[in-house]
Amino acid sequence: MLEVVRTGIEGFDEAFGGFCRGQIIMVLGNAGSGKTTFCAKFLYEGARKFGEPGVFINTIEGKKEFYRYMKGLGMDFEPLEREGLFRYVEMLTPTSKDALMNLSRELTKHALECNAKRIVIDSITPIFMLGPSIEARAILHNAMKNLVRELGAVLLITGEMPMGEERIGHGVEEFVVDGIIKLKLEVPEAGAPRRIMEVLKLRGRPLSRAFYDFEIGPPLGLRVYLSGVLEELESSIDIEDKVPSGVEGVDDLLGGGLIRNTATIVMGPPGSGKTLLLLTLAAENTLRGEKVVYITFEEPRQQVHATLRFLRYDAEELEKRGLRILSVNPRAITMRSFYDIIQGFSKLTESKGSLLIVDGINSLRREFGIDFHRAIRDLVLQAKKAGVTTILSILKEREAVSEEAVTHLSTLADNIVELRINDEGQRIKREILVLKARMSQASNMIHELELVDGRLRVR
Amino acid sequence: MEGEGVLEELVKELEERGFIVTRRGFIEGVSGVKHYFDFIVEDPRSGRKLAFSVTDRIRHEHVLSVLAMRIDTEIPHIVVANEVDPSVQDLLRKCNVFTVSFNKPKFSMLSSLPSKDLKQFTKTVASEILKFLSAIRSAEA
Repeated sequence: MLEVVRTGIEGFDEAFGGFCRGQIIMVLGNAGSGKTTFCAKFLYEGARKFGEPGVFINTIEGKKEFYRYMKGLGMDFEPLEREGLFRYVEMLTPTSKDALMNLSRELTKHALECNAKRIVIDSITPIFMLGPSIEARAILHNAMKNLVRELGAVLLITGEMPMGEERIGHGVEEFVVDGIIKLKLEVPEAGAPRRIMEVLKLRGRPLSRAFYDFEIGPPLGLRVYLSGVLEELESSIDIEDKVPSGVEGVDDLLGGGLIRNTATIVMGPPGSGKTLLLLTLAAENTLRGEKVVYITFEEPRQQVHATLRFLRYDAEELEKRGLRILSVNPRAITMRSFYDIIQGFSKLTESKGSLLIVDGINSLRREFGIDFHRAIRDLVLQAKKAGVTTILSILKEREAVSEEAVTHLSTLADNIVELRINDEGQRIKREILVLKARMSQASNMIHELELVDGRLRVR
Repeated sequence: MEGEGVLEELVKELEERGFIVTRRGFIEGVSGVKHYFDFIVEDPRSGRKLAFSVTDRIRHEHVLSVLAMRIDTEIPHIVVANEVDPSVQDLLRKCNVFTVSFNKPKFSMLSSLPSKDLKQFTKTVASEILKFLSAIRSAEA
């Protein structure tokens, strides 16, 4: 029975259990795909959580840069090095025919000296580029496998894939190694970058699913999302922690308010009260001390101030208290600048317990076309990652947004609130209905939403 | 004494003990690559072969290539060297690569071995081979 070696990488062990002692795992990917960080995390957690000494042989990057970059990601290797649990070996850009002998020396010497149980060679590509034949490489892999087995270690070797190249194509490595993990950084022309981990082979471990999202960043360095990013983020939601709407009666309809760190869509025709509801939410939560960013694609800033005054709020005072109002002309916004705004707000609302309110998100549909849904998905995703509660308003009008489009968006939202207008001849009656409220006991009744003395309330 | 003379002494000793010795022979590995050795020693009774190399020193930098040859040829390997790093010796032993070393400063080169030490040297190597082949025989029995 092979001894299982847990990687210590959050998400990876839950999915695969880890590696097995004596295995060689190849980590492949284009430049910038996260290979070095994945391997570093394997050694870091091995030393920290399991007390297993590790050796990192780097043929690309110097020690100083490595330590600095990894520290920025939350992995400080210096204390581990002092404790004898980590060794960093620079074997920069091997160019001579002695490269294999150098590799043998560094690998064997350091592994034996510190009794390494985890070893990384990052990257093997410069050594292989020196021209050993496929046969020689196969023999070398077998030799390394023998060595690793005798050491009782696990060896991770990284391999470069040329930019834009999808196939592995190393020739022999994929057959002789015990596992192949392919890392990918997808940078769409429009959209947020996405990191994907593809496990193509892992001897002795179950492979129930091949693709996983993963993320690189502090404080964990690297984590793998088990059930897709959105679902995983939702697992940390506290359903008792709710954000009040500030509108009398609306919280009762929602089962006590909006659950923090969820996404809500407010939809309705023009004049149904979407902007009034959103601005009330923004103002009341600012007064409660929340950090609120209000982005509108519908109205100029002065109009927002006027509406706040109509709702009997002091706009200047709210801004002093931290309310950020951004008025963006949808025709002037490019996909790139939209993503800059998304990135920007996560900095604006760095502390947990913040609200992002976007009025008139449908205006982007005309500009973004088929990328609209992805842009909204990324917006919701970024907000959830930053621990931000999101409220988006969308115009529901046959010519503006089709039923299909609303259906697509509704899958991204945890809550959907519909506002309606009921023309009763003598007067126009506004109505409110909660169509969806995940994790809450929401009302399924239609209620009147009235405006009394400049304030909204549910009747 | 010349290095060539040392090898000849070894061959003689092994042949006297009943082995078939092929000088500077090669074994084609599983990969198809030909691996050259100073001697290939064959036990005529079992048909078992041993690869035999003479080198100056075995250190960390040699581990991968020695292991590579051993694994590809699928036969045990005996390496005689003036100097063998002790940690490497243990590691290689576990992988069926046997090293015979003379870790004494005065034996800096095989070619300079004095004649009285040569006798001891050849006996040690031959015993190592015999020990190994006996182990295989008992395992097969």
